[in-house]
Amino acid sequence: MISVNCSKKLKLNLSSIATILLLSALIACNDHQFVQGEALYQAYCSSCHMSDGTGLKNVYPSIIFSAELKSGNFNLPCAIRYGHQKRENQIAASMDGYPKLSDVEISNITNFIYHDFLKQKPKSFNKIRKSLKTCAK
Amino acid sequence: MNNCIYLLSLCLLIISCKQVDNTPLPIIGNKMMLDGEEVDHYIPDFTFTDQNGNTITNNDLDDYVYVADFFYTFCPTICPTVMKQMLTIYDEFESNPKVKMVSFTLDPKRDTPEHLKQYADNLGIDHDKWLFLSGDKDATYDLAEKHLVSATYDDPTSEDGFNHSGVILLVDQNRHIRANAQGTDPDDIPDFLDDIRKLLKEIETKSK
Repeated sequence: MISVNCSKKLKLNLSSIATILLLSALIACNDHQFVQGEALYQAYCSSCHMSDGTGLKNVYPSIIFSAELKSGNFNLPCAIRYGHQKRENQIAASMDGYPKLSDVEISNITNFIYHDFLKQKPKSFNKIRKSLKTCAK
Repeated sequence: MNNCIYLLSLCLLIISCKQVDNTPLPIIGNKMMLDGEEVDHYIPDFTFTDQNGNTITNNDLDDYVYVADFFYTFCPTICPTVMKQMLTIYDEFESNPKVKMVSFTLDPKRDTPEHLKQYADNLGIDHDKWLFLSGDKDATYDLAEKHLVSATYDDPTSEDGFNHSGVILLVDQNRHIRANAQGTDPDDIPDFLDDIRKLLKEIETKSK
């Protein structure tokens, strides 16, 4: 009787350990779900907005502290594709945009920014495509 | 258990024995000729205009150690990253009256004093502490070379013709370059901050 109990206990422990491992693996993987987006961000955006998204004071705006981005009222995919007009008193290089990037690439950069910098839920590919259509030239 | 304590104390001993490096900072650069004599490398005379429209010569920097870089405001590549590191250095020594920051523009045509003033305002820095200097283009490139910074214009390989390295330099009150850092690499900055502290200590000891 006792031995059965023991093995049950052991099984329970093993399965709970496996669950914890699985969960932590999922969380860990989840943290790096936009690998291409991150690589593209570092290649195209980081020299001005910095690799951690903090920007350069009022010279180049920060991404992580941007109220405009957080509020969801800013069309990020369009800004990546076609650039952004200069803000008042902005005198350094303007953001020209990268029209050669594909919808998928822009979607990955956008979601890297939303997920890693703004701690928001990623947007669906269809939603990003819709945003891009509003500025199609 | 006892063994463990011994091992731990040994580790602590090794950590605390880490030697403090007392060797002075080197003078960087090849020897130069002055009046037929070989002398240590030094920054020659220069005259530039700062963001407030004041004329600045190296005599104005004689009483300070200064941290210098060469940049231009429209630079789309390495400059913002280098400027971010310059800001880190500025923040660290903001309250130290012995330290100045000097940024020379490689694009004086577009980077007029008024333009540089707006740029400095956007950075939110003190205009007396951090000078943004513009002047004759050839004189600037010559001075960059004297600061051991490679810089060229009309470079066909670069998008807008400019090409330069993102080095940050530490110049002492005798115009000698004493340390440098790669402004594009944030990991290079902590050692550079230590170098500045070391130079300030050296000056303090000498003046006693």
